[in-house]
Amino acid sequence: MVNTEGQLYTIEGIAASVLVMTTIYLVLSTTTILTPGETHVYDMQLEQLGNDILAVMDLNQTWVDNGYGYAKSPLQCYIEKDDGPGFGHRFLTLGKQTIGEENVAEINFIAIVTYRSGANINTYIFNSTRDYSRERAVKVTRWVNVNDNHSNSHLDNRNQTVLLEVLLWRG
Amino acid sequence: MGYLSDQKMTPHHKTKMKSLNDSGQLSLDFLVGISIFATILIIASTMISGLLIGLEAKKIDFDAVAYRTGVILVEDPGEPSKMAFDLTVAEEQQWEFVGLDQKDKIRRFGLALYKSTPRVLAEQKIFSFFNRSKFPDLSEYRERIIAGDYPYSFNISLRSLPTGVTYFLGEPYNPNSTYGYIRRMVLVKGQTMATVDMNRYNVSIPDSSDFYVNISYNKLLNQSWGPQYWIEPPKEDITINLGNMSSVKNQSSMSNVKLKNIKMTFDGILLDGREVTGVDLPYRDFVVKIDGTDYTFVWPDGAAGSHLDVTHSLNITFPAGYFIPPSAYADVTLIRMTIHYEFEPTTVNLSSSNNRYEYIPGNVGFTPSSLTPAVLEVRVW
Repeated sequence: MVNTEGQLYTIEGIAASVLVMTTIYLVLSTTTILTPGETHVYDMQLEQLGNDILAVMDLNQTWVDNGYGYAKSPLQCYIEKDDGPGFGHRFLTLGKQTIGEENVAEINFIAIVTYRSGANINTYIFNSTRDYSRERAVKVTRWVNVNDNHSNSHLDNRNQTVLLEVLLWRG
Repeated sequence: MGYLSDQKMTPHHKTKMKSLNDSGQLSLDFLVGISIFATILIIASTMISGLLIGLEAKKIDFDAVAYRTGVILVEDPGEPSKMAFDLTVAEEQQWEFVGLDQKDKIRRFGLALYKSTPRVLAEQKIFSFFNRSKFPDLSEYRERIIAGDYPYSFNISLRSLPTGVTYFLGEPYNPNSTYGYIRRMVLVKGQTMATVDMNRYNVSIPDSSDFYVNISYNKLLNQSWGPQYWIEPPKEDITINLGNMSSVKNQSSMSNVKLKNIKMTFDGILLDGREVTGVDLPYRDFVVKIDGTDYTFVWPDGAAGSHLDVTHSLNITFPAGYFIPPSAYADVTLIRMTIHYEFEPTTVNLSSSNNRYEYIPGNVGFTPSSLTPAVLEVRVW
């Protein structure tokens, strides 16, 4: 049957197509695409934890009217009293809580408070575990109400909302 | 090419027709071959997206599923779950109270109080969720907390930080193997309790033998507090402890304080708009601890052999779900529930002008619910 005319017969056609498709499939499925997502997951976990901790610290245990119609949260108290160490201790205590035998890497943070004073926007370091030397970090933020009768020397004596930013990293 | 009759065809022509010639005619073989190839190519190209899924690292997928499950548990009230302010809740409208018979009505587990209170969990939902009696089969949990078709294994644990009490659900995990993981920091809303010092109600000239504890719904759901500080009697434990009972004992009487009965009445607005007060409610059985001994009270006569002696204390804990109104009263808008203690007249020194206790935060002896931190971990593999 096979002669010099280069004729492609049915069975050869099927065989050839199966070969080609199998090759394409194998090539594609053995290719490893390195996604940067792997590291993002750990960032996401740390960010979620940071957000959760700030949210937990931003609710008082019970309803106690602070004279302004809402319950003062521990977070508000820390900032009003400028108690950075107290904040840091509570933050790390909550951050290290686990149930299983999870290996908790040391969490480090720098907390920065941003506030307005007159026409200026100022910041100061509220508390930190150690200096930040460009580790891979995530940032969580929370707006915190401050009443006018606070004892924080950085802030003006008025009701205001300041921004608390916490830069978090493992290591 | 022209049409040649068979007669006019030369042998040369016939040979050329059998094999392909310069006539430009497509062969059947080629058609079959190319169509098979094209079909497979189309099938394969539709599979490309599926191929790429396989390229993702499994760990990432597990982490994503664990994260989603964590969000469902911590930030969602579950389904069914009534909206805030709906006090006339029925059992089948609130998943943590759905009974064994109707368990299929639970579509999704979620531990948050309300949608508006993410990270604030309801204690009763935690009890219901970690109690396996309703769903002994883990696959029934899986379809209600894990958004995905793949039969993932999971392990969920919750630990209260102040008490250290830990709950587990799911399969044991191997710490050295690969699993998706998320840790959530949450607050758990605790229960309330009222401890009434009866000495405050002792009078020298008694004209009453009744004592009342009011549970005023309109005061307990204070708008300005926010749902995390509300007290919702149908969904929470209500604990009323009458202490120091000996102080209201009628000193001229020989006998101890004697409890005749405990009744329950309600004030409310009926469907037709009529307001009713002090309506006797045929209550469900409940347990009263008198000086440490349990007595079951059954409507309408109270405990068997009433006229019970009370020397020190009278404690009642109505479990969460107790104040869900019976279906006959489901249309009543409740304003107030009153626990009515009936004592033997000659045995107590009580006054009709001062024999009511209001079950509300801020009142003397009232322990408000507190939000206590807890940690929730989800592992998926």
